[in-house]
Amino acid sequence: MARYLAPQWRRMTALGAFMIAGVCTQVVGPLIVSRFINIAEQGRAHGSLVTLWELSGAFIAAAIVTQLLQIGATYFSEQLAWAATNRMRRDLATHTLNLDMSYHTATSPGDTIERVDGDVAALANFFSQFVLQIVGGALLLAGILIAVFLMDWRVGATLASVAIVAGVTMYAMRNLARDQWERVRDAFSAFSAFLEERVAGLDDIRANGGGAHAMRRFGELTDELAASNMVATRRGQWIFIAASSLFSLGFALALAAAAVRFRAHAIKIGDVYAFMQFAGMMAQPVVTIGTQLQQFQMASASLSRISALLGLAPELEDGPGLDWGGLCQAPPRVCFEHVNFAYRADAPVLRDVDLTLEPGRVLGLLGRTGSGKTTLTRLLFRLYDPLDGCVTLDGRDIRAATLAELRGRIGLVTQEVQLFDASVRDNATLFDPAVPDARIVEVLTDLGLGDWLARQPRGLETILAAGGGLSAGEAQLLAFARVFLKDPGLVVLDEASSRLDPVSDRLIERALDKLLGGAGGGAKRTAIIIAHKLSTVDRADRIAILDQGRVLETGGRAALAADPGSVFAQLLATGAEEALA
Amino acid sequence: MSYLAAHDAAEVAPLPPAPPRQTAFAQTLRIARTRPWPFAGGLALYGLYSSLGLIPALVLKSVLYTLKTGHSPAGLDIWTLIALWFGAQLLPLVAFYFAVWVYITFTTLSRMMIRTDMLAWLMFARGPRKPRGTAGEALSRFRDDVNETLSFMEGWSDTFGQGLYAVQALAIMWFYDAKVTLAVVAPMVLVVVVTQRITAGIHKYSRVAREAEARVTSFVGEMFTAVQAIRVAGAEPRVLDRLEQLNDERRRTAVRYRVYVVLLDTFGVGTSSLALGLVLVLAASDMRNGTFTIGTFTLFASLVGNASSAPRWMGRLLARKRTADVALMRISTLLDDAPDAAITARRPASPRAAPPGPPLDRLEVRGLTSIHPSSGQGVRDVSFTLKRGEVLIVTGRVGAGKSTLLKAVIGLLPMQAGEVLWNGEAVDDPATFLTPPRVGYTAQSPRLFTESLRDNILMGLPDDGRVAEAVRLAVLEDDVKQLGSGLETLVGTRGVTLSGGQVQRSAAARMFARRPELLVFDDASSALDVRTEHTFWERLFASGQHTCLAVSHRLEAYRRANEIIVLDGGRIGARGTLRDLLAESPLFREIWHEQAHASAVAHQHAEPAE
Repeated sequence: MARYLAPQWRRMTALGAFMIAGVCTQVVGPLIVSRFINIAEQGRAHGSLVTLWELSGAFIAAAIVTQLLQIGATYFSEQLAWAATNRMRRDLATHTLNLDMSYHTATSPGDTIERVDGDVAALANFFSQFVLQIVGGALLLAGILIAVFLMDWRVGATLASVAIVAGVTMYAMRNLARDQWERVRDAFSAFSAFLEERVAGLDDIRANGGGAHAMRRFGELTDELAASNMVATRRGQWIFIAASSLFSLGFALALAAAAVRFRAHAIKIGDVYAFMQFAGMMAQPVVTIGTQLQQFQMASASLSRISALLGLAPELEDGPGLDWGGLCQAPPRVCFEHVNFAYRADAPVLRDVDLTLEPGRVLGLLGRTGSGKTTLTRLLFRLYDPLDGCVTLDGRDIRAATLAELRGRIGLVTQEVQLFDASVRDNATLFDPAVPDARIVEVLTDLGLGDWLARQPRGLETILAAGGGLSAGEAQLLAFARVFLKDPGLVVLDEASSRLDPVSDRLIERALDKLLGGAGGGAKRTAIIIAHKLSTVDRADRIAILDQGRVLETGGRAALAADPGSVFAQLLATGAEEALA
Repeated sequence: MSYLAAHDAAEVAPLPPAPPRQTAFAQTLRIARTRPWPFAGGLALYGLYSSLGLIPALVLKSVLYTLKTGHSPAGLDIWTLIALWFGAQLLPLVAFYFAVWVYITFTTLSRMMIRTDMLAWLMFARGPRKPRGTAGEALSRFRDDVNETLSFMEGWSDTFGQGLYAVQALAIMWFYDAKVTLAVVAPMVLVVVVTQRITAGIHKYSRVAREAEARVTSFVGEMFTAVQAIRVAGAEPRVLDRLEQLNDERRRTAVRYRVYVVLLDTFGVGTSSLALGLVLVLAASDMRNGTFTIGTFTLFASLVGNASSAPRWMGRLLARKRTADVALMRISTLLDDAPDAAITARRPASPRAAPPGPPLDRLEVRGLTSIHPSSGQGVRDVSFTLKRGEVLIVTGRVGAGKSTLLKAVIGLLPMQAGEVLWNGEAVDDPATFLTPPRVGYTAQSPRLFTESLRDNILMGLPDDGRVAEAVRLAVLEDDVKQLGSGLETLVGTRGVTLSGGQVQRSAAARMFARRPELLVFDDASSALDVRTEHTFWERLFASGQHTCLAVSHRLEAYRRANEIIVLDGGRIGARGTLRDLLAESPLFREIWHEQAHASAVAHQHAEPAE
């Protein structure tokens, strides 16, 4: 936390000043009343009514200033908490975004939201409160004790020992409910993940009658959430009760001490009153510290979960960097050299894959679903690293390049198009403000989305509501737009055109001609095209057919098509048979 | 034509006004009524806790009086009185423990009830259910807005206890000195007035702050849903910048809101001090005369703080009410047309079990029109009949409305005009009627949930061999074998470890497992390779259960179709069998040629046989 608070020192200083000033005005209050009583008790003969009224006015003034200072302190503590936790949220998001894909595969987005957003927001609330209540409370305690000691050290010693005993007891009890709060957070996390998925998949559930099943599971999750919450709250209460009882005992002792001193004529009755007032003021911070400690338990549960997440290191290490310089746009030579890969040790996905693709050439990758085609491209992007063998671009192992360099060179269109609840512009450029509007419009128009764009009420600034208003085909075209805007030297099309109807397919084909430098043209880019449909690999120079992670067949497309014994030719035959309705 | 004109007019007409919503007060009262005893018991215990809090103040008065004057009214010595004072402080704690115990039980159960009812409404209510915004936003409705509502109810118990305390405290003070008591009450009136003004600001800024918060939550959600897309595009820094913008917005709004809340609190605390200051001013002369004793002064000082804080609690309750109003409004937006009572059903809505009825003979769709309100795209005036055992294929260009048509037929999207008939009878609510065992559906981008593949397929059905059958029909058996733990493999929401085709076939298996009479699938085979697709249709026809309505632009599907509907800009552009369309529809021929092109060029087949 210190790392996040340090840059906020200005706000911290202001906050400190406001809080200390606030404590002073609070401590002054009972001192004024004590003086008031002592003068009033002197009776008509000695007490001046004007002095009494002056003291009353001073008391009211101190009360008002105290409240103003309180507002200022709140402002700074809130600013401080949010500024610090916003940085933390960003760091956490950065870290999590860079974790291995295996983490994202194993963790549902709802879970991650709960970590990156829920836990951090809990911390923000806690810290804004923590500073005000715990630190402010501690300052007030100190101020009170100093005042009491100056008035009578014996009574002061009694109150101080009460505070110490209570403080130690609280410290001992602080972990009482912590495990329970951890359980609550876990339950909440499971609850959030479940809901997020079910709401997103509502159509699938409703149309297939899965509602009752979902409700049963939901019932189990809310039961756990309720049970853990009740247990944790009840446990947390004991801290409050213990603190209150202790302080009651302490006040009684302090009152007894004051009574002894009064009878000894060492202090006046106004001082006895002030001691009681101070004792009462001590209860307030202790009660809030008690309740905030409960918050602290929740916050430390959040914090430990955040540290656990931060503790996960990506196994995939960023490369030292290659000096590709201006080469980013140049088509690279791509090699998979005896690549072996598995997501789990017992289930190999790629076995000894050895493929080479010359610059500017197009590779058509075929194979049944699950044969490893998509995985092969994931290795190219270094979403995963091969277990054996290596992937090279222009003869250099891609592990030597930084991830940013590498991914800057490759563009990808996947079957799943992820749209953001953001403007058309941000969706097309993935939040890159540097891309000029004209360029975006040009690309969208080239892709046949010109009419669609013209229909958008605010043009490029129209917010694309998640899942609304955009058909899968249009979304797919938008995904193409992302690649066109990036203008990389290597493109990967993963089942890219499978969602499109033939007419749009042709739009894409035309755009692809442009992207790839045209059939037999300038060989502008290297490309890997994955598809189950044969039509998609029309433009391929080379074909590779994968089967259960092995390269079953590879060669020039024309040569394979002409060889009746090849698997490719057989596939074409099946396709042709299909065509002869 | 007149029908179309009428329809177009309806399209631009504003949405019907939302039904009037009850205030948070009325709504929470209904929540309280669902569990009257824990609620009332909790309040009573809070009242007891507050009332017991008066006793120590009375004892302390005697302590100081005895100390000052040296003689005790009840004949107890000073040490006994101090011991009594200690005991009197412990009593309220016991009441407090039980008050929290009972009330927390009440609020926790109420939270569960509301959330369960909300989900049940989304699952089972009639008509299309499309929560606005992202799933992350919906989550925030379930999570934060329900909490805000219940936090308002927690405010009730505090306010009730404090109110009871104030009434009793003022009565005691009145007994000792009516004039000074009146002076204490005066600033309370001021508090009520100013509080009203501040709470209006709280209302506004709470909404703004919550919206900013929801935007962060939902963006974080999108970020981690699209993590692969972001990484391969190298867009991490830009996406994080965007997060920072949203974070900043949230900080600004949250700070402003908190300052307003504290302003309200401070104002209240300030008034308590002001009240004590007035006691000082008014009692000054009497104390000097000895008619207002130190004991009475102590009593007033002890009581005045809490008594004058009653309006503050009231103000805080009002602030929470405003927050709860916003929260409840957002919940009702999520639930759309749900009546207010929908969230306080002790027995949540359950699936409507329509009687099974005779088996499917024919499905008719007449004049169906379904337009997406924001884009204006959709389908208009589509009619068709599908008889048992027939295959109807819907095809067309991107954005022609293929998916919309399927969704509107089975009630996943609203239809503005037209009707759907099942065996000749108009279906009252397709969303709840056209479900298993009548209809099964595979979406274009289906979702798998984070549980085993088996549970994803069964979704609660008993496994009486239907999984194996469904897996076979969906041509998924080889994939199941490849998965580490077969059907027990945990699959994720987006099926990250599964390829797109595997996710789609898993969803198809989910549909087959319900053994529906009518299969509705959207592009179901687009992710399949040629051989798998062939197997898919072979098995489907061999099963004899192949009445189906599907979106496809695959040759295999066209060949099997009894009728093909070609959508063009949301309307039927052409219809007929494959042969009819090849002969008569230029649009279809265009599509067909494109499709045949691939194989033809590669295999030296110039044109398909017509």
